[in-house]
Amino acid sequence: MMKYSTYFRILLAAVSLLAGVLLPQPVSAQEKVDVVVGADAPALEQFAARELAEIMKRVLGCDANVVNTFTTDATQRVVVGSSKTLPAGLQRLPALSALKAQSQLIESVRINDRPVWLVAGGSPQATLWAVYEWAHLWGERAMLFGDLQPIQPPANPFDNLQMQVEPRLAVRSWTLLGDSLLGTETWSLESLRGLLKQLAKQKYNRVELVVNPAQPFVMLQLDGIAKSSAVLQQGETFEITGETAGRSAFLGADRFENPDLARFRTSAERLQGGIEYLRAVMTSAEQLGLQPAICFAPTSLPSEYQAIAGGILRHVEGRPARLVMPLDTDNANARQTLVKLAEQQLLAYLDTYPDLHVIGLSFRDSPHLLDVADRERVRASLAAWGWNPSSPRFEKVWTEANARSEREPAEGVRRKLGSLLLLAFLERLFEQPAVKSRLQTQAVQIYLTDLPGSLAAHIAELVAPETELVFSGDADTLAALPTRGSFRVSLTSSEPNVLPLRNLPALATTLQTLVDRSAQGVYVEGLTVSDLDLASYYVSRVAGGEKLTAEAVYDRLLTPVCGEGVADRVVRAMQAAEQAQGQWTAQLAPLGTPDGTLFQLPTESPEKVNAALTAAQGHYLSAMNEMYRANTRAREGGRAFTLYLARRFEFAFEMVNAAIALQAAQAARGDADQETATAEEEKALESLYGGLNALAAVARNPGDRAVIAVVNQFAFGPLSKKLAEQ
Amino acid sequence: MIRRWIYAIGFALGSVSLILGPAVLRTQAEDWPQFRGQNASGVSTSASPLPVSFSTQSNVAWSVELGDSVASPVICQGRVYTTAMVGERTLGVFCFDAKTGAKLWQRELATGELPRITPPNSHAAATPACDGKRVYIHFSTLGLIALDVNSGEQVWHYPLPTPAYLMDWGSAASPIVYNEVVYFNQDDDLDPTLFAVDAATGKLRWRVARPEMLAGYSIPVICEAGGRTDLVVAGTGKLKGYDPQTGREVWSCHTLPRTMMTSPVVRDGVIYLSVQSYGDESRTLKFALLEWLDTNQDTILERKEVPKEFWKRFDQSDKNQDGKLAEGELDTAFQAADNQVGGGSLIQAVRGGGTGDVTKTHVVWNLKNRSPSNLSSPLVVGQQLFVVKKGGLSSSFDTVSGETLWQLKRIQNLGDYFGSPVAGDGKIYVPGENGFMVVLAQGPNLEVLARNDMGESCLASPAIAEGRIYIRTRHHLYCIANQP
Repeated sequence: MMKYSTYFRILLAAVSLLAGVLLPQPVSAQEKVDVVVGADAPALEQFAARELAEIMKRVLGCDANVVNTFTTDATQRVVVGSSKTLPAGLQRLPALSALKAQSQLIESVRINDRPVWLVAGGSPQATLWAVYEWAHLWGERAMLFGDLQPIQPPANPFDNLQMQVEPRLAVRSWTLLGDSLLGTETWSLESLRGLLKQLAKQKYNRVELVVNPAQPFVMLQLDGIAKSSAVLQQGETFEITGETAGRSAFLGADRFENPDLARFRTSAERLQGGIEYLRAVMTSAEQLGLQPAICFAPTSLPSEYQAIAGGILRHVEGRPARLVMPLDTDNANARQTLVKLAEQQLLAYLDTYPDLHVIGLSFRDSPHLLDVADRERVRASLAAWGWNPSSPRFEKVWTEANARSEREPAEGVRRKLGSLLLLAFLERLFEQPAVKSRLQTQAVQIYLTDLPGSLAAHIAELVAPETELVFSGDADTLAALPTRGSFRVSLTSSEPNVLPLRNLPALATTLQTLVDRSAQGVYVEGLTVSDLDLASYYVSRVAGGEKLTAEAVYDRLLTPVCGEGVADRVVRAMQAAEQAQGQWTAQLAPLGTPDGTLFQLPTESPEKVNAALTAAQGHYLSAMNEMYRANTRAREGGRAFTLYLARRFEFAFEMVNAAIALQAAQAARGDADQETATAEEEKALESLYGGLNALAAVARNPGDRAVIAVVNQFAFGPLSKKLAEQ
Repeated sequence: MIRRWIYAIGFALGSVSLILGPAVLRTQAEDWPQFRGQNASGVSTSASPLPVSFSTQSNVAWSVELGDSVASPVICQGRVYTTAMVGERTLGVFCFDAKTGAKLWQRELATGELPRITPPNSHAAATPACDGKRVYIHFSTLGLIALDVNSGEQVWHYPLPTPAYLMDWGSAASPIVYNEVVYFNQDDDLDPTLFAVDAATGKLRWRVARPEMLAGYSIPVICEAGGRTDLVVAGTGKLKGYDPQTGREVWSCHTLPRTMMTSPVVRDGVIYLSVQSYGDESRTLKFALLEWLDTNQDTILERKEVPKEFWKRFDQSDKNQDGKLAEGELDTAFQAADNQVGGGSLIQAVRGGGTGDVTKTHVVWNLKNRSPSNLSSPLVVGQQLFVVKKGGLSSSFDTVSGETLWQLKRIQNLGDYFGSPVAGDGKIYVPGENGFMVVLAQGPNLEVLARNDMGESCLASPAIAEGRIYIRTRHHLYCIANQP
């Protein structure tokens, strides 16, 4: 039984008077506001009360203070709490008693014949979201980089406000870490805390920490071999020197790396530091009401384990540092060993993170399980893992797999069949006594993620009902999504790219489908965080309960903080950027991929490639100019948003300019015109330099620095060196 | 070889003419008392050898970390003065001992609410000027302020209108002091005016409206020619000579483009200019407004599309009072009807000492090519005029004939150039926005001697005095010297 403060006992006595119809008067700058929270209320609710007081100060300009009991001189009173922690009398209020765990309520009531604002949720998390919802209503906008204040505070911030918000997707997850060079593994704890706070303001409720076994986030001791890899940034080193274009973004650092882990040089040190870092990230998330989940591929191991299990682990194509388990093995001993390895790995995460209650098991590596789509071999392997595809339980799935495979490329077939094998494998894994016991005692919830769409229709029959299923894929997958299924969406392009590729129109369709199908949740991911404000806000509002179209999101997000006329320009800029992005699909992929293929372009049909480049150049120029106009118009407040995007598109424009020059250089070299080739390469270098400095001028987080570091590492640096040597 | 010799002679003569040039009270020949030193020339008269190679670690006599600024330091009687933002709304003025770097005093000035500026400009953008008695500073929201050189105490304050810029560039003009008068040219888009304020008392001597001007940052220079001393100011479309005693306009030369962000330099009665203004000669301000301020791109400028500081002026031009400036109204709403100049690039030499309209009589030579920068001012040293622009593209021209010595050759340092080159000891120092200070040999051929990394962005022009180079990066001040 929760103990309540004196304040709450007073409240309890007064609850019977809750019948008034008069609303509180609007807050003004001269007024003193009591933000009342119980002294024994959960930490998250106390935090919510502090947040509300700070928001009132900065947005409304009033004198707001957190107190545990009403003061006598307060002119306005606000009560912050949740349906489970407020006194019983308040809980009996019809609106409060009906609140679900994620419901948010802002309502005026009367206590002791005085008006009081009730800011409540169905849980402490929801109470915090109710506070942020109020701030949103007042015009404050929580961007991923920080808050933007309304141009003008609301004249009557409480007029006729009776609001209840119900999220439409129960799980709203944001993915962090991963192992892309553009991801968040280079973010310091302080940087990540800032991001997490903004995600909490956008009412995300889960943070998915995607890790791979080569990273320094878990210690493994398998077959007597201690893990020795423990590397970030795919083992790449990014030196920052005076020759680094856009070096001002790095604030004097001589390397681009996670500053919290930079001092750790040995594998053991990195592991210790990495684990402390991840624990701190998880703690920070929990303090903000974000449930941390660790997601890993249970069949992956770092390359130092190649010798174990009789050397049967395979290398992943394009990922030399990673090994995967060959689940199609016909060796019974090997199968037993593979289950043991997965068990040890799963237990290692649970041992390392004893407060962890959600684990995601990724199927992302499953396509690598098979060399060919050999169905008979899969049938045999499934049988070996204890499944019989001919049995009624699996018949539908197997039939579906075969039917769809007729029109799928080999990779799709491999992935689908590999995923079936992985499901069978996981069933054996979860049968292991140590695993079963540990998942129960630590109250761990499992979700399976990166499931191929072709399994969507029938997978619910293959897994335990409490297992959350997170699919990724296309419209077909969405259409077949099971009721408790969640869906993974990328806020940018599906493949990592240093360019500001985006996905808002497709995102809008996906979200609407998820809502229509009463899906469990949405897992969003995106690499360069600074590109994601619009999309993240959109997900936040739609999943959070608002009916908002992709067309309306610009105005909803920007007009309060930038003023009239800005959203229109941003729409045009984004449309131009989308037109540029269309060229990637048509002709230009993999231009912009963050590795040695950064400026690689298709070699066939150079005329089409050049035409696509010219079109992309024009579109990015339009996007840049429109954003500069938006920035001019956003005379107050919102320029942190508009100027960033103007520079980001300037960067993209210069990247395409560089690509055009490099194409011309290549053509000139083909004609044995070395002078022209060199001149074009110098133009490319200058474009890269200009673009990188344009981005550096507005770089606001390690995501931007990652783009700059990657382009230096794989393009500007090598080209600069080449020209210097000529 | 002969050419090199001619340039060496030219270098010596150039230095002499500067030494014998306009008298500046109480400052010494070795001083660098204002933006780009004596009379904004950018040329040091010091005979002391200057270092070629240096960095944030090597050949550093002293250094200090400061707040954000793009203003240049000035050196006067063994003291270095510089400014920096030391708080969100606080300007710091600093005085250091030039030899040791010891801070002698620091004065903090509350700025009030700051106007909008466009990065990479800083609110601390104006370079101080010093006459040995007082140091004169300008700040957008404060106007002109004189501080005592010994104590840093405020001697006087002359408030000025906060400058307003249609494109939100922000203030960046600097004062000069000459014969006990502080001159400050505030060419903004609202109320461009040239001010002359008594250096001792802060009383207004005179002010001259320059209504035909648009925003620009050209610093006034002193030109002695024809037995007369003129205060020369470059602005939109026109280079003008004023009587420094009265502010009376003595002459004007109508050859300049729309936007003058660079400053002229004067040597031997000849004024040298180099400027690039965006667009071609037909691109008047109207086109820029329609491109950038007409945010809904309907070719009509609405009141709400214009910064609020300009609403009064907008209304005056809005003849039919419909809240919109259409074709006929827009042409002259912000750019004077009798000064409808456009963009373009030019490098020019204009002989001083004229009277009236000297456009057809005093232009010595005029080059139109792609060499000039829109921001970095020209350097005239020896017999060469040197310019550098974005991309590290440098050009040089013979000061007498305008003949091209080299054009658009790279100085091996990419990026932007906001600061202006300076010269001393036969070398040219070129500050790159990327933080590299490129050192060139003064002479008819481009020769890069060194490329020195100063660690962070540098938009300020360096200062030279007593064999030392003072480099103001975005957040540091370095005193560079041989054998520190």
